[in-house]
Amino acid sequence: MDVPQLITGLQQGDPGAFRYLVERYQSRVYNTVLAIVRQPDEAEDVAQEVFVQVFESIQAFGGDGKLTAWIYRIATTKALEAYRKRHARKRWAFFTSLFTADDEEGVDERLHPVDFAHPGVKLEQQERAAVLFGAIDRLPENQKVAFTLHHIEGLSYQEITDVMQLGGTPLSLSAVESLLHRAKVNLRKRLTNYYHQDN
Amino acid sequence: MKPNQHIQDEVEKTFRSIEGIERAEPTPFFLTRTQARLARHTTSQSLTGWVFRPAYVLASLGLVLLLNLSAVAYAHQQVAQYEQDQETVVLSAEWGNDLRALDW
Repeated sequence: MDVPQLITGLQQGDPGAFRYLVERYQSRVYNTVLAIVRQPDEAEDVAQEVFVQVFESIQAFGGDGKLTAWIYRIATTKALEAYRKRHARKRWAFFTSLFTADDEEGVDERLHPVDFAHPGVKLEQQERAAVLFGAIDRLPENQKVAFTLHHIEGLSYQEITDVMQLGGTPLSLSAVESLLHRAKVNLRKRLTNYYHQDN
Repeated sequence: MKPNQHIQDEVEKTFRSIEGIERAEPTPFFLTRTQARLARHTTSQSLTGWVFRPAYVLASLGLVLLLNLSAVAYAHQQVAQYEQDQETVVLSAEWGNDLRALDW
């Protein structure tokens, strides 16, 4: 089944097309969502929601854009929504801890713990990767998405321009380059601080 | 080795830790669960759609309006009846007539 056939099938509500959609995109969607929400159960829940939304919004898609980029856009949007919701709850839970002896960094550590082991990372690199994912977690949202799509999902800069939008307009290539550069600078800063404190 | 150089080495090694990362795969039941979720979603939407269909909404509003009107009419009738009774009682008291006698 090629992409136009898939889109037509989905628009006609064909269960076979939905099955093909899930089988074809489940790894990409789940992997992207997992890198952002960092919890396997929640990632699976969000990934399911992504496919339901794709199925329900396919009429609006119209087929003139790129299906894969559109699915990535829904996946990153839903993952960020879930992440924000969970962190709002966490922040409320930590509200009282502001009155304790904890310093700001202590609260920050608990909001972004270094405990996420991505199953796709080599076993001997798991510990270091957990530190990196902890730092990625603290990036601003657009930098986090750009870094995840490029370094975790393996998308090219050009493909990321199709996924990421600003006010409905796709990002330019230079904007994506700039986002990734800033993400790296911020990560380097965070990691340097982390290893400074560790020494 | 200088401490700063050591830290920079650690940072570089950490950056390289995700080189060659493989895609994480969902559980084997992902497809089945997603299909079930879609079915649940479609059912709940069709139920909600039934409730909010314009004909049913208008019929419900009409029923509520009718109930309200009948309640107002009933109350109005009761008040009129009470006022009439009161008037009869007052007139009877003024003229010294026995209501029972009038009834008879």
